[in-house]
Amino acid sequence: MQIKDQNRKKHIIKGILYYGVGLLIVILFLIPFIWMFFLSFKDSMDIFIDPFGLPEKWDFSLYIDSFKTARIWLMLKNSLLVTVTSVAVAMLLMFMSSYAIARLVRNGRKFNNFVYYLFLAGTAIPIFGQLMTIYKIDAQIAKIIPILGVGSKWGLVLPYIVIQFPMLTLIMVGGLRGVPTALEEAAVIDGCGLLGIMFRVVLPTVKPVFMTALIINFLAIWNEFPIANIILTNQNDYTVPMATLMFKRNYASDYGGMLRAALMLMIPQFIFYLIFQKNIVEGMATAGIKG
Amino acid sequence: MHIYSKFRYKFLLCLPALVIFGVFMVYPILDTLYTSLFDKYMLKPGIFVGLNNYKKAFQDEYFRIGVKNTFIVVICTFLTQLPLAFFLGKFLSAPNYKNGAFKTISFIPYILSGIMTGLIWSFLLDPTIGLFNNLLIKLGMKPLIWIGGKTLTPYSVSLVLLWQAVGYHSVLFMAGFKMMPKDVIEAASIDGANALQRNWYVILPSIKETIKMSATLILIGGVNQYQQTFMLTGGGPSHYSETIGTYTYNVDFVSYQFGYGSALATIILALALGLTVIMLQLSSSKDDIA
Repeated sequence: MQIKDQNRKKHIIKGILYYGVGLLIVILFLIPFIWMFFLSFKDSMDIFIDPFGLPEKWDFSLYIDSFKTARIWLMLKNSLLVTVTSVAVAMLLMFMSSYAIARLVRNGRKFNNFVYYLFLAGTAIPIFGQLMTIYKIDAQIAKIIPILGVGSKWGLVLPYIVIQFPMLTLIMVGGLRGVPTALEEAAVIDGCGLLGIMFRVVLPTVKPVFMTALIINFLAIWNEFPIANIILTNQNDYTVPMATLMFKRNYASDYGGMLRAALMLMIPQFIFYLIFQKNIVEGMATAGIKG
Repeated sequence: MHIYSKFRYKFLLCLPALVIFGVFMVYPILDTLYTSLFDKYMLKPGIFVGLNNYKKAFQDEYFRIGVKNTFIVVICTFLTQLPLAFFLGKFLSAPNYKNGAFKTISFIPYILSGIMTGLIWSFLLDPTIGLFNNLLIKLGMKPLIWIGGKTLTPYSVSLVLLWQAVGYHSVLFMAGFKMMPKDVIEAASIDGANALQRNWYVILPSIKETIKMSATLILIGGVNQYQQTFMLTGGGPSHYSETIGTYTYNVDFVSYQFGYGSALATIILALALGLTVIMLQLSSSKDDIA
Protein backbone atom coordinates (compact mmCIF):
# COMPACT_ATOMS: atom_id res chain seq x y z
CA MET A 1 0.00 0.00 0.00
CA GLN A 2 2.76 2.42 0.94
CA ILE A 3 4.68 1.92 -2.30
CA LYS A 4 1.56 2.38 -4.37
CA ASP A 5 0.81 5.68 -2.64
CA GLN A 6 4.36 6.87 -3.13
CA ASN A 7 4.18 6.08 -6.80
CA ARG A 8 0.86 7.88 -7.10
CA LYS A 9 2.37 10.91 -5.41
CA LYS A 10 5.33 10.87 -7.79
CA HIS A 11 2.96 10.74 -10.73
CA ILE A 12 0.92 13.64 -9.51
CA ILE A 13 3.99 15.76 -8.85
CA LYS A 14 5.41 14.90 -12.25
CA GLY A 15 2.10 15.81 -13.80
CA ILE A 16 1.95 19.17 -12.07
CA LEU A 17 5.52 19.91 -13.12
CA TYR A 18 4.86 18.96 -16.71
CA TYR A 19 1.73 21.00 -17.12
CA GLY A 20 3.34 23.82 -15.21
CA VAL A 21 6.21 23.98 -17.67
CA GLY A 22 3.72 23.67 -20.49
CA LEU A 23 1.74 26.61 -19.15
CA LEU A 24 4.90 28.66 -18.90
CA ILE A 25 5.76 27.87 -22.49
CA VAL A 26 2.28 28.81 -23.64
CA ILE A 27 2.43 32.11 -21.80
CA LEU A 28 5.83 32.93 -23.26
CA PHE A 29 4.60 32.29 -26.77
CA LEU A 30 1.33 34.14 -26.37
CA ILE A 31 2.58 37.19 -24.47
CA PRO A 32 3.22 39.22 -27.62
CA PHE A 33 -0.35 38.71 -28.82
CA ILE A 34 -1.89 39.39 -25.43
CA TRP A 35 0.19 42.54 -25.08
CA MET A 36 -0.90 43.74 -28.49
CA PHE A 37 -4.52 43.00 -27.66
CA PHE A 38 -4.42 45.09 -24.49
CA LEU A 39 -2.56 47.94 -26.16
CA SER A 40 -5.01 48.04 -29.02
CA PHE A 41 -7.75 49.39 -26.79
CA LYS A 42 -5.79 52.31 -25.45
CA ASP A 43 -5.43 55.59 -27.20
CA SER A 44 -2.01 57.09 -27.65
CA MET A 45 -2.08 59.06 -24.40
CA ASP A 46 -2.86 55.98 -22.36
CA ILE A 47 -0.12 54.06 -24.05
CA PHE A 48 2.51 56.56 -23.04
CA ILE A 49 1.27 57.15 -19.53
CA ASP A 50 0.67 53.59 -18.48
CA PRO A 51 1.59 51.02 -21.07
CA PHE A 52 1.58 48.22 -18.59
CA GLY A 53 -1.88 48.32 -17.12
CA LEU A 54 -5.15 47.05 -18.42
CA PRO A 55 -7.00 49.38 -20.74
CA GLU A 56 -9.63 51.63 -19.22
CA LYS A 57 -12.37 50.90 -21.60
CA TRP A 58 -12.95 47.97 -23.87
CA ASP A 59 -14.36 49.86 -26.77
CA PHE A 60 -15.03 47.49 -29.64
CA SER A 61 -16.35 50.23 -31.86
CA LEU A 62 -12.72 51.30 -32.20
CA TYR A 63 -12.16 48.07 -34.03
CA ILE A 64 -15.00 48.72 -36.40
CA ASP A 65 -13.62 52.17 -37.13
CA SER A 66 -10.18 50.79 -37.82
CA PHE A 67 -11.62 48.15 -40.07
CA LYS A 68 -13.11 50.79 -42.31
CA THR A 69 -10.26 53.31 -42.20
CA ALA A 70 -7.56 50.77 -42.88
CA ARG A 71 -9.59 49.08 -45.60
CA ILE A 72 -8.84 45.73 -44.07
CA TRP A 73 -11.35 44.02 -46.29
CA LEU A 74 -9.64 45.30 -49.44
CA MET A 75 -6.23 44.12 -48.28
CA LEU A 76 -7.55 40.69 -47.40
CA LYS A 77 -9.29 40.49 -50.74
CA ASN A 78 -6.11 41.37 -52.63
CA SER A 79 -4.14 38.73 -50.79
CA LEU A 80 -6.86 36.17 -51.35
CA LEU A 81 -7.12 36.78 -55.09
CA VAL A 82 -3.38 36.71 -55.69
CA THR A 83 -2.76 33.74 -53.42
CA VAL A 84 -5.55 31.57 -54.79
CA THR A 85 -4.51 32.20 -58.38
CA SER A 86 -0.83 31.55 -57.75
CA VAL A 87 -1.48 28.47 -55.65
CA ALA A 88 -3.84 26.97 -58.21
CA VAL A 89 -1.32 27.28 -61.04
CA ALA A 90 1.60 26.21 -58.85
CA MET A 91 -0.16 23.09 -57.60
CA LEU A 92 -1.09 22.07 -61.12
CA LEU A 93 2.43 22.52 -62.47
CA MET A 94 3.95 20.87 -59.43
CA PHE A 95 1.66 17.87 -59.58
CA MET A 96 2.47 17.32 -63.23
CA SER A 97 6.23 17.57 -62.81
CA SER A 98 6.33 15.67 -59.50
CA TYR A 99 4.30 12.93 -61.08
CA ALA A 100 6.76 12.71 -63.96
CA ILE A 101 9.74 12.68 -61.57
CA ALA A 102 8.31 10.14 -59.20
CA ARG A 103 6.29 7.77 -61.36
CA LEU A 104 7.61 7.83 -64.92
CA VAL A 105 10.85 6.05 -64.17
CA ARG A 106 10.96 3.02 -66.37
CA ASN A 107 12.97 4.51 -69.19
CA GLY A 108 15.83 5.93 -67.18
CA ARG A 109 16.06 8.44 -64.37
CA LYS A 110 18.48 10.98 -65.70
CA PHE A 111 15.88 13.50 -66.70
CA ASN A 112 13.88 12.86 -63.54
CA ASN A 113 16.89 13.47 -61.34
CA PHE A 114 17.88 16.53 -63.27
CA VAL A 115 14.52 18.20 -62.77
CA TYR A 116 14.25 17.04 -59.17
CA TYR A 117 17.61 18.40 -58.06
CA LEU A 118 17.18 21.53 -60.12
CA PHE A 119 13.99 22.39 -58.28
CA LEU A 120 15.43 21.39 -54.91
CA ALA A 121 18.48 23.60 -55.44
CA GLY A 122 16.18 26.57 -55.13
CA THR A 123 16.14 26.10 -51.37
CA ALA A 124 19.49 27.74 -50.77
CA ILE A 125 18.80 30.74 -52.96
CA PRO A 126 18.15 33.95 -51.05
CA ILE A 127 15.48 36.20 -52.45
CA PHE A 128 17.98 38.99 -53.01
CA GLY A 129 19.48 37.04 -55.86
CA GLN A 130 16.18 37.29 -57.73
CA LEU A 131 14.50 40.53 -56.76
CA MET A 132 16.18 42.86 -59.20
CA THR A 133 15.55 40.60 -62.17
CA ILE A 134 11.94 39.95 -61.18
CA TYR A 135 11.47 43.70 -61.16
CA LYS A 136 13.09 43.92 -64.58
CA ILE A 137 10.96 41.12 -66.02
CA ASP A 138 7.74 42.51 -64.66
CA ALA A 139 8.63 45.92 -66.00
CA GLN A 140 9.04 44.38 -69.45
CA ILE A 141 5.77 42.48 -69.12
CA ALA A 142 4.04 45.69 -68.15
CA LYS A 143 4.91 47.12 -71.55
CA ILE A 144 3.08 44.29 -73.29
CA ILE A 145 0.35 43.23 -70.89
CA PRO A 146 0.03 46.03 -68.32
CA ILE A 147 -2.12 44.13 -65.90
CA LEU A 148 0.41 41.34 -65.47
CA GLY A 149 3.38 43.56 -64.80
CA VAL A 150 4.81 45.99 -62.34
CA GLY A 151 2.30 48.15 -60.54
CA SER A 152 -0.53 45.67 -60.58
CA LYS A 153 -1.31 43.02 -58.08
CA TRP A 154 -1.59 40.46 -60.85
CA GLY A 155 2.06 41.12 -61.59
CA LEU A 156 2.72 39.12 -58.45
CA VAL A 157 1.20 35.92 -59.73
CA LEU A 158 3.92 34.81 -62.13
CA PRO A 159 6.80 35.15 -59.64
CA TYR A 160 4.67 33.71 -56.86
CA ILE A 161 4.05 30.52 -58.78
CA VAL A 162 7.68 29.44 -58.46
CA ILE A 163 8.72 30.59 -55.05
CA GLN A 164 7.76 27.39 -53.31
CA PHE A 165 8.79 24.98 -56.07
CA PRO A 166 11.67 23.52 -54.02
CA MET A 167 9.55 22.69 -50.97
CA LEU A 168 6.55 21.53 -52.99
CA THR A 169 8.68 19.23 -55.14
CA LEU A 170 10.20 17.73 -52.02
CA ILE A 171 6.82 17.03 -50.47
CA MET A 172 5.00 15.84 -53.55
CA VAL A 173 7.69 13.63 -55.00
CA GLY A 174 8.02 12.07 -51.57
CA GLY A 175 4.31 11.42 -51.42
CA LEU A 176 3.97 10.17 -54.96
CA ARG A 177 6.77 7.65 -54.63
CA GLY A 178 4.70 5.55 -52.30
CA VAL A 179 1.82 4.90 -54.66
CA PRO A 180 1.53 1.24 -55.69
CA THR A 181 2.17 0.73 -59.40
CA ALA A 182 -0.60 -1.83 -59.55
CA LEU A 183 -3.04 1.03 -59.36
CA GLU A 184 -1.70 2.69 -62.46
CA GLU A 185 -1.33 -0.54 -64.37
CA ALA A 186 -4.96 -1.36 -63.70
CA ALA A 187 -5.94 2.04 -64.98
CA VAL A 188 -3.94 1.52 -68.16
CA ILE A 189 -5.65 -1.79 -68.75
CA ASP A 190 -8.98 -0.09 -68.28
CA GLY A 191 -8.07 2.21 -71.13
CA CYS A 192 -7.19 5.38 -69.20
CA GLY A 193 -4.96 7.91 -70.91
CA LEU A 194 -2.03 9.45 -69.05
CA LEU A 195 -3.99 12.47 -67.87
CA GLY A 196 -6.78 10.22 -66.74
CA ILE A 197 -4.39 8.10 -64.70
CA MET A 198 -2.84 11.14 -63.14
CA PHE A 199 -5.90 13.09 -62.23
CA ARG A 200 -8.59 10.50 -61.77
CA VAL A 201 -6.65 7.61 -60.30
CA VAL A 202 -3.46 8.76 -58.62
CA LEU A 203 -4.40 12.21 -57.39
CA PRO A 204 -7.25 11.01 -55.15
CA THR A 205 -4.83 8.53 -53.61
CA VAL A 206 -2.34 11.17 -52.58
CA LYS A 207 -4.89 13.73 -51.47
CA PRO A 208 -3.42 14.19 -47.93
CA VAL A 209 0.07 14.96 -49.28
CA PHE A 210 -1.41 17.21 -51.92
CA MET A 211 -3.42 19.08 -49.33
CA THR A 212 -0.36 19.53 -47.12
CA ALA A 213 1.62 20.90 -50.02
CA LEU A 214 -1.23 23.19 -50.98
CA ILE A 215 -1.54 24.58 -47.47
CA ILE A 216 2.18 25.22 -47.14
CA ASN A 217 2.15 26.91 -50.53
CA PHE A 218 -0.83 29.03 -49.55
CA LEU A 219 0.76 30.23 -46.33
CA ALA A 220 4.08 31.05 -47.96
CA ILE A 221 2.49 33.13 -50.71
CA TRP A 222 0.06 34.85 -48.35
CA ASN A 223 2.99 35.94 -46.18
CA GLU A 224 5.33 36.88 -48.99
CA PHE A 225 6.82 40.32 -48.69
CA PRO A 226 9.97 41.11 -50.71
CA ILE A 227 8.47 40.62 -54.16
CA ALA A 228 5.26 42.38 -53.20
CA ASN A 229 7.27 45.30 -51.92
CA ILE A 230 8.94 45.93 -55.25
CA ILE A 231 6.03 45.19 -57.57
CA LEU A 232 3.12 46.90 -55.86
CA THR A 233 2.94 50.65 -56.18
CA ASN A 234 -0.71 51.42 -55.65
CA GLN A 235 -1.96 51.18 -52.08
CA ASN A 236 -5.22 49.76 -53.32
CA ASP A 237 -3.34 46.70 -54.51
CA TYR A 238 -1.56 45.94 -51.29
CA THR A 239 -1.46 42.40 -49.94
CA VAL A 240 -1.50 41.65 -46.22
CA PRO A 241 2.26 41.96 -45.56
CA MET A 242 2.41 45.23 -47.52
CA ALA A 243 -0.60 46.48 -45.61
CA THR A 244 1.19 45.68 -42.35
CA LEU A 245 4.14 47.81 -43.44
CA MET A 246 1.83 50.57 -44.57
CA PHE A 247 0.12 50.66 -41.19
CA LYS A 248 3.43 51.09 -39.48
CA ARG A 249 4.21 54.03 -41.71
CA ASN A 250 0.80 55.71 -41.77
CA TYR A 251 -0.19 55.27 -38.16
CA ALA A 252 3.13 56.55 -36.87
CA SER A 253 1.74 57.81 -33.59
CA ASP A 254 -1.61 56.11 -33.39
CA TYR A 255 -0.28 52.88 -31.96
CA GLY A 256 -3.71 51.72 -31.00
CA GLY A 257 -4.95 52.04 -34.55
CA MET A 258 -1.88 50.27 -35.89
CA LEU A 259 -2.35 47.38 -33.53
CA ARG A 260 -6.05 47.03 -34.19
CA ALA A 261 -5.43 46.90 -37.93
CA ALA A 262 -2.60 44.40 -37.55
CA LEU A 263 -4.63 42.13 -35.27
CA MET A 264 -7.55 42.12 -37.66
CA LEU A 265 -5.22 41.24 -40.53
CA MET A 266 -3.96 38.25 -38.58
CA ILE A 267 -7.36 36.77 -37.89
CA PRO A 268 -7.83 34.91 -41.20
CA GLN A 269 -4.42 33.33 -40.78
CA PHE A 270 -5.25 32.18 -37.27
CA ILE A 271 -8.50 30.64 -38.38
CA PHE A 272 -6.79 29.01 -41.35
CA TYR A 273 -4.16 27.61 -39.03
CA LEU A 274 -6.60 26.29 -36.45
CA ILE A 275 -8.54 24.45 -39.12
CA PHE A 276 -5.58 22.94 -40.93
CA GLN A 277 -3.12 22.80 -38.12
CA LYS A 278 -2.64 19.07 -38.03
CA ASN A 279 -1.93 19.03 -41.73
CA ILE A 280 0.51 21.91 -41.54
CA VAL A 281 2.53 20.61 -38.63
CA GLU A 282 2.75 17.07 -39.94
CA GLY A 283 3.56 18.26 -43.42
CA MET A 284 6.46 20.38 -42.23
CA ALA A 285 7.79 17.47 -40.22
CA THR A 286 7.63 15.08 -43.14
CA ALA A 287 9.31 17.55 -45.44
CA GLY A 288 11.99 17.96 -42.83
CA ILE A 289 12.71 14.27 -42.64
CA LYS A 290 12.92 13.84 -46.37
CA GLY A 291 15.24 16.80 -46.64
CA MET B 1 4.42 2.16 -66.29
CA HIS B 2 6.22 1.30 -69.48
CA ILE B 3 4.02 3.11 -71.93
CA TYR B 4 4.14 6.54 -70.44
CA SER B 5 7.72 6.57 -69.23
CA LYS B 6 8.91 7.78 -72.60
CA PHE B 7 10.90 10.96 -72.62
CA ARG B 8 8.34 12.98 -74.48
CA TYR B 9 5.71 12.47 -71.81
CA LYS B 10 8.06 13.31 -68.97
CA PHE B 11 9.28 16.33 -70.81
CA LEU B 12 5.85 17.66 -71.63
CA LEU B 13 4.64 17.22 -68.08
CA CYS B 14 7.63 19.04 -66.66
CA LEU B 15 7.84 21.69 -69.33
CA PRO B 16 5.52 24.38 -67.92
CA ALA B 17 7.13 24.14 -64.50
CA LEU B 18 10.61 24.19 -66.01
CA VAL B 19 9.87 27.21 -68.15
CA ILE B 20 8.46 29.36 -65.41
CA PHE B 21 11.15 28.17 -62.99
CA GLY B 22 13.80 29.01 -65.54
CA VAL B 23 12.42 32.49 -66.10
CA PHE B 24 11.85 33.46 -62.48
CA MET B 25 14.44 31.47 -60.57
CA VAL B 26 17.35 30.43 -62.78
CA TYR B 27 17.58 33.44 -65.05
CA PRO B 28 17.47 35.93 -62.13
CA ILE B 29 20.46 34.29 -60.48
CA LEU B 30 22.47 34.40 -63.69
CA ASP B 31 21.32 37.94 -64.35
CA THR B 32 22.29 39.05 -60.86
CA LEU B 33 25.74 37.53 -61.25
CA TYR B 34 26.13 39.26 -64.60
CA THR B 35 24.85 42.62 -63.41
CA SER B 36 27.20 42.56 -60.44
CA LEU B 37 30.00 43.31 -62.86
CA PHE B 38 28.42 46.56 -63.95
CA ASP B 39 27.72 49.95 -62.52
CA LYS B 40 24.02 50.18 -63.18
CA TYR B 41 21.42 52.67 -62.08
CA MET B 42 17.89 51.29 -62.28
CA LEU B 43 17.13 49.79 -65.65
CA LYS B 44 19.36 52.13 -67.59
CA PRO B 45 22.27 50.54 -69.42
CA GLY B 46 25.27 49.87 -67.24
CA ILE B 47 28.98 50.47 -67.45
CA PHE B 48 31.26 47.46 -67.16
CA VAL B 49 33.41 47.71 -64.05
CA GLY B 50 34.55 44.16 -63.52
CA LEU B 51 35.04 43.22 -59.90
CA ASN B 52 34.92 46.83 -58.72
CA ASN B 53 31.60 46.35 -56.98
CA TYR B 54 33.05 43.59 -54.87
CA LYS B 55 36.05 45.72 -53.97
CA LYS B 56 33.63 48.48 -53.07
CA ALA B 57 31.73 46.12 -50.79
CA PHE B 58 34.81 45.25 -48.77
CA GLN B 59 35.57 48.89 -48.24
CA ASP B 60 32.00 49.89 -47.58
CA GLU B 61 31.64 50.78 -43.91
CA TYR B 62 27.91 50.13 -43.88
CA PHE B 63 28.35 46.74 -45.48
CA ARG B 64 30.90 45.83 -42.83
CA ILE B 65 28.45 46.81 -40.13
CA GLY B 66 25.93 44.61 -41.88
CA VAL B 67 28.30 41.68 -41.91
CA LYS B 68 29.01 42.12 -38.21
CA ASN B 69 25.32 42.26 -37.35
CA THR B 70 24.46 39.33 -39.57
CA PHE B 71 27.25 37.36 -37.95
CA ILE B 72 25.79 38.09 -34.52
CA VAL B 73 22.33 37.03 -35.64
CA VAL B 74 23.58 33.79 -37.19
CA ILE B 75 25.62 32.79 -34.15
CA CYS B 76 22.92 33.73 -31.65
CA THR B 77 20.13 31.98 -33.49
CA PHE B 78 22.29 28.91 -33.93
CA LEU B 79 23.20 28.74 -30.25
CA THR B 80 19.68 29.35 -28.98
CA GLN B 81 17.37 27.68 -31.46
CA LEU B 82 19.04 24.29 -31.68
CA PRO B 83 19.13 23.44 -27.95
CA LEU B 84 15.74 25.01 -27.26
CA ALA B 85 14.13 23.19 -30.17
CA PHE B 86 15.71 19.99 -28.90
CA PHE B 87 14.27 20.40 -25.42
CA LEU B 88 10.94 21.66 -26.63
CA GLY B 89 10.74 18.73 -29.02
CA LYS B 90 11.51 16.35 -26.20
CA PHE B 91 9.00 18.02 -23.96
CA LEU B 92 6.27 17.82 -26.57
CA SER B 93 7.12 14.21 -27.40
CA ALA B 94 6.38 13.00 -23.90
CA PRO B 95 3.80 10.26 -24.12
CA ASN B 96 0.95 9.99 -21.62
CA TYR B 97 0.45 13.72 -21.43
CA LYS B 98 -2.11 15.80 -23.22
CA ASN B 99 0.21 18.25 -24.91
CA GLY B 100 -1.72 18.97 -28.11
CA ALA B 101 -2.52 22.52 -27.08
CA PHE B 102 1.14 23.24 -26.26
CA LYS B 103 2.16 21.96 -29.67
CA THR B 104 -0.43 24.06 -31.43
CA ILE B 105 0.47 27.26 -29.64
CA SER B 106 4.24 26.93 -29.99
CA PHE B 107 3.83 26.64 -33.75
CA ILE B 108 1.66 29.72 -34.21
CA PRO B 109 4.48 32.26 -34.62
CA TYR B 110 5.78 30.34 -37.61
CA ILE B 111 2.68 30.98 -39.71
CA LEU B 112 3.09 34.74 -39.57
CA SER B 113 5.01 36.79 -42.08
CA GLY B 114 8.34 38.27 -41.04
CA ILE B 115 6.78 41.69 -41.38
CA MET B 116 3.97 40.92 -38.97
CA THR B 117 6.40 39.39 -36.49
CA GLY B 118 8.60 42.45 -36.74
CA LEU B 119 5.62 44.72 -36.10
CA ILE B 120 4.49 42.75 -33.07
CA TRP B 121 7.94 42.74 -31.53
CA SER B 122 8.58 46.40 -32.29
CA PHE B 123 5.96 47.03 -29.64
CA LEU B 124 7.45 44.63 -27.13
CA LEU B 125 10.96 45.94 -27.59
CA ASP B 126 10.22 49.64 -27.90
CA PRO B 127 12.45 51.38 -25.38
CA THR B 128 9.68 53.74 -24.22
CA ILE B 129 6.40 51.89 -24.29
CA GLY B 130 7.55 48.33 -24.70
CA LEU B 131 6.73 45.48 -22.36
CA PHE B 132 10.37 44.50 -21.85
CA ASN B 133 11.53 47.81 -20.49
CA ASN B 134 8.42 48.27 -18.41
CA LEU B 135 9.09 44.92 -16.81
CA LEU B 136 12.70 45.85 -16.17
CA ILE B 137 11.66 49.11 -14.55
CA LYS B 138 9.09 47.41 -12.36
CA LEU B 139 11.76 44.96 -11.25
CA GLY B 140 13.97 47.90 -10.36
CA MET B 141 16.47 47.36 -13.15
CA LYS B 142 17.70 49.71 -15.82
CA PRO B 143 15.83 49.75 -19.12
CA LEU B 144 17.79 48.73 -22.21
CA ILE B 145 17.73 50.10 -25.71
CA TRP B 146 16.59 46.89 -27.36
CA ILE B 147 16.02 48.48 -30.74
CA GLY B 148 16.90 51.89 -32.06
CA GLY B 149 20.25 51.92 -30.34
CA LYS B 150 23.74 51.12 -31.47
CA THR B 151 24.46 47.61 -30.31
CA LEU B 152 21.56 45.56 -29.05
CA THR B 153 19.47 45.30 -32.21
CA PRO B 154 20.99 42.12 -33.68
CA TYR B 155 20.47 40.37 -30.36
CA SER B 156 16.86 41.49 -30.28
CA VAL B 157 16.44 40.26 -33.84
CA SER B 158 17.80 36.88 -32.75
CA LEU B 159 15.19 36.79 -30.03
CA VAL B 160 12.43 37.53 -32.51
CA LEU B 161 13.69 34.84 -34.86
CA LEU B 162 13.85 32.43 -31.93
CA TRP B 163 10.22 33.11 -31.04
CA GLN B 164 9.17 32.66 -34.62
CA ALA B 165 11.05 29.49 -35.49
CA VAL B 166 11.59 27.39 -32.38
CA GLY B 167 8.11 25.86 -32.66
CA TYR B 168 8.86 24.78 -36.21
CA HIS B 169 12.25 23.31 -35.36
CA SER B 170 10.80 21.49 -32.38
CA VAL B 171 8.44 19.77 -34.81
CA LEU B 172 11.45 18.63 -36.84
CA PHE B 173 13.02 17.26 -33.68
CA MET B 174 9.80 15.53 -32.69
CA ALA B 175 9.77 13.77 -36.02
CA GLY B 176 13.43 12.85 -35.49
CA PHE B 177 12.73 11.45 -32.05
CA LYS B 178 9.97 9.30 -33.45
CA MET B 179 12.44 7.65 -35.76
CA MET B 180 14.99 6.83 -33.07
CA PRO B 181 15.64 3.18 -32.34
CA LYS B 182 14.13 2.74 -28.89
CA ASP B 183 16.03 -0.42 -28.03
CA VAL B 184 19.40 1.31 -28.00
CA ILE B 185 18.13 3.86 -25.50
CA GLU B 186 16.65 1.20 -23.29
CA ALA B 187 19.86 -0.76 -23.44
CA ALA B 188 21.72 2.31 -22.29
CA SER B 189 19.37 2.77 -19.32
CA ILE B 190 19.78 -0.83 -18.35
CA ASP B 191 23.53 -0.47 -18.58
CA GLY B 192 23.27 2.26 -15.95
CA ALA B 193 23.52 5.44 -17.96
CA ASN B 194 21.83 8.40 -16.34
CA ALA B 195 19.71 10.93 -18.20
CA LEU B 196 22.60 13.20 -19.15
CA GLN B 197 24.69 10.36 -20.50
CA ARG B 198 21.73 8.90 -22.33
CA ASN B 199 21.09 12.21 -23.98
CA TRP B 200 24.63 12.94 -24.99
CA TYR B 201 25.90 9.61 -26.14
CA VAL B 202 22.84 7.86 -27.44
CA ILE B 203 20.09 10.25 -28.41
CA LEU B 204 22.17 12.95 -30.05
CA PRO B 205 23.88 10.64 -32.53
CA SER B 206 20.56 9.07 -33.50
CA ILE B 207 19.05 12.38 -34.52
CA LYS B 208 22.11 13.62 -36.34
CA GLU B 209 20.12 14.04 -39.54
CA THR B 210 17.52 16.19 -37.85
CA ILE B 211 20.18 18.35 -36.25
CA LYS B 212 21.89 18.74 -39.60
CA MET B 213 18.66 19.82 -41.29
CA SER B 214 17.66 22.18 -38.52
CA ALA B 215 21.11 23.72 -38.30
CA THR B 216 21.27 24.34 -42.04
CA LEU B 217 17.88 26.03 -42.04
CA ILE B 218 18.82 28.19 -39.07
CA LEU B 219 22.10 29.28 -40.62
CA ILE B 220 20.58 30.09 -44.01
CA GLY B 221 17.71 31.85 -42.27
CA GLY B 222 20.14 34.00 -40.34
CA VAL B 223 22.08 34.97 -43.44
CA ASN B 224 18.98 35.79 -45.50
CA GLN B 225 17.17 37.53 -42.68
CA TYR B 226 15.86 40.96 -43.42
CA GLN B 227 12.12 41.36 -42.89
CA GLN B 228 12.25 41.46 -39.11
CA THR B 229 15.18 43.89 -38.93
CA PHE B 230 13.45 45.99 -41.54
CA MET B 231 10.34 46.30 -39.44
CA LEU B 232 12.13 46.74 -36.12
CA THR B 233 14.60 49.43 -37.07
CA GLY B 234 14.80 49.80 -40.84
CA GLY B 235 18.53 49.43 -40.46
CA GLY B 236 18.91 52.56 -38.38
CA PRO B 237 19.83 54.61 -36.66
CA SER B 238 22.40 55.67 -39.23
CA HIS B 239 22.87 52.15 -40.51
CA TYR B 240 23.99 50.81 -37.13
CA SER B 241 21.63 47.90 -37.19
CA GLU B 242 21.84 46.95 -40.85
CA THR B 243 22.20 43.34 -41.76
CA ILE B 244 23.58 42.31 -45.12
CA GLY B 245 20.01 41.60 -46.14
CA THR B 246 18.58 45.01 -45.25
CA TYR B 247 21.60 46.78 -46.71
CA THR B 248 21.35 44.90 -50.00
CA TYR B 249 17.68 45.76 -50.16
CA ASN B 250 18.47 49.40 -49.47
CA VAL B 251 21.11 49.57 -52.16
CA ASP B 252 18.90 47.86 -54.71
CA PHE B 253 15.54 49.46 -54.10
CA VAL B 254 16.15 52.68 -52.24
CA SER B 255 19.27 53.87 -54.01
CA TYR B 256 18.49 51.80 -57.10
CA GLN B 257 22.13 50.86 -57.59
CA PHE B 258 21.38 47.58 -59.30
CA GLY B 259 25.00 46.84 -60.10
CA TYR B 260 26.34 47.22 -56.59
CA GLY B 261 23.24 45.60 -55.16
CA SER B 262 23.74 42.58 -57.39
CA ALA B 263 27.27 42.21 -56.12
CA LEU B 264 25.99 42.28 -52.54
CA ALA B 265 23.30 39.77 -53.41
CA THR B 266 25.94 37.51 -54.93
CA ILE B 267 27.97 37.70 -51.75
CA ILE B 268 24.91 36.66 -49.73
CA LEU B 269 24.24 33.84 -52.17
CA ALA B 270 27.84 32.65 -51.84
CA LEU B 271 27.55 32.76 -48.06
CA ALA B 272 24.35 30.76 -48.02
CA LEU B 273 25.69 28.17 -50.44
CA GLY B 274 28.98 28.00 -48.56
CA LEU B 275 27.24 27.34 -45.27
CA THR B 276 25.09 24.64 -46.90
CA VAL B 277 28.13 22.92 -48.34
CA ILE B 278 29.94 23.08 -45.01
CA MET B 279 26.96 21.52 -43.24
CA LEU B 280 26.78 18.75 -45.81
CA GLN B 281 30.51 18.07 -45.53
CA LEU B 282 30.48 18.02 -41.75
CA SER B 283 27.85 15.33 -41.56
CA SER B 284 29.33 13.07 -44.20
CA SER B 285 32.68 12.94 -42.40
CA LYS B 286 30.90 12.10 -39.16
CA ASP B 287 29.14 9.29 -40.94
CA ASP B 288 32.47 7.78 -41.93
CA ILE B 289 33.60 7.59 -38.35
CA ALA B 290 30.30 6.14 -37.14
